[in-house]
Amino acid sequence: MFVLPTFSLGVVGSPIVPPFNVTIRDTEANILASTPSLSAGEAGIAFGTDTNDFYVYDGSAWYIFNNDS
Amino acid sequence: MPTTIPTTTSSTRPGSPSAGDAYFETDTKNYIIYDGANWRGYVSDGVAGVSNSFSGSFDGSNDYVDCGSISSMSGVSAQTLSVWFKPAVAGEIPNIGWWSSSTTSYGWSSSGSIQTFNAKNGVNESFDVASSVPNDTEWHNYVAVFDGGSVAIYIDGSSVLTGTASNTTLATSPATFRIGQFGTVSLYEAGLYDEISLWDAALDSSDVLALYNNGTPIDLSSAAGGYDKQADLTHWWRIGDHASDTGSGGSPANGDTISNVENAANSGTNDGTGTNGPTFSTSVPS
Repeated sequence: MFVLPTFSLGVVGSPIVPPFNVTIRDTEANILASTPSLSAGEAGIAFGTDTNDFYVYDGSAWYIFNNDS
Repeated sequence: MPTTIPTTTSSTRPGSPSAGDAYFETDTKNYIIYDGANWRGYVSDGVAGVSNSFSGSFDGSNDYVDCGSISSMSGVSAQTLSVWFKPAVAGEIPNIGWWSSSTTSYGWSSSGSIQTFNAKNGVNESFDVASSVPNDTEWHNYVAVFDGGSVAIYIDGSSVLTGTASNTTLATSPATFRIGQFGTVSLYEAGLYDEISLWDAALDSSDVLALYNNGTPIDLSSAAGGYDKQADLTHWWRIGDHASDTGSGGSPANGDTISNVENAANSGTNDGTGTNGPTFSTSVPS
């Protein structure tokens, strides 16, 4: 029989999921000046610390997704 | 190592995705996430724009920038013209191009309710875009593509007109090309003009959409997104943002009279000279 893991207080625990972490966090100028090394079929992402915008690099250009909040 | 996400295209999205699957679409440049039933798209706001501090302000009475005769468009079968324009009067289009006669001209002409693109070579015909012109005083990008007689007109990256001209090539011996005035005809249009550019090639819809870039001009000398015609760029008047552009006070400054605006694609060829007092403005498309 499968038993859910519990803590000492008897609360059902949630599985631990590692956070999705954006490793490139820099100013927009530095992000736009960089050219991440990518494998085929993937795009790189970054977060602008001065703009709070989100950036995706497709191998040729950075695409900007503006912070709307 | 950068954090990465997988890529796909709008026509090759996974057939059996799981809720939460996310991709970057390389053709649309959108970020997509599957919600368990549908793909949800997040539209890119574009690529970083080119450094841009100045445009040119024209009074619509007699101001223009004279760029001389553009020999590279003489008799060619393909040509593209792009101009960013912010009209002083809502619903107007730029006056820009060259004119030899009623049957021989090239460019945008605005005369009252008649707003046309012209690529005339022996026949008095033009392409009327009046019904598609935005009725406001905001910045807009106007692109006209001539391709062996086919004409495609785009405003802000969207196709608004396609047609066929009688001629398959542009006229030879182009007359002087002017910004703010339709050649030497007494047709001027008041407003701000910026990032005027010519290619000796036909840009396609992907190029044009990338040029628009959600309202922010891009660096035309480099490929970006769907734009890959940088090798065909022959003229690019940046109006105050090229290194050698000058005004009445030397380096360009807001309100200074335009003296010289170089062709950033080929300095020394068809550099423009301000005439009758157009001025630099710090209002730019963005």
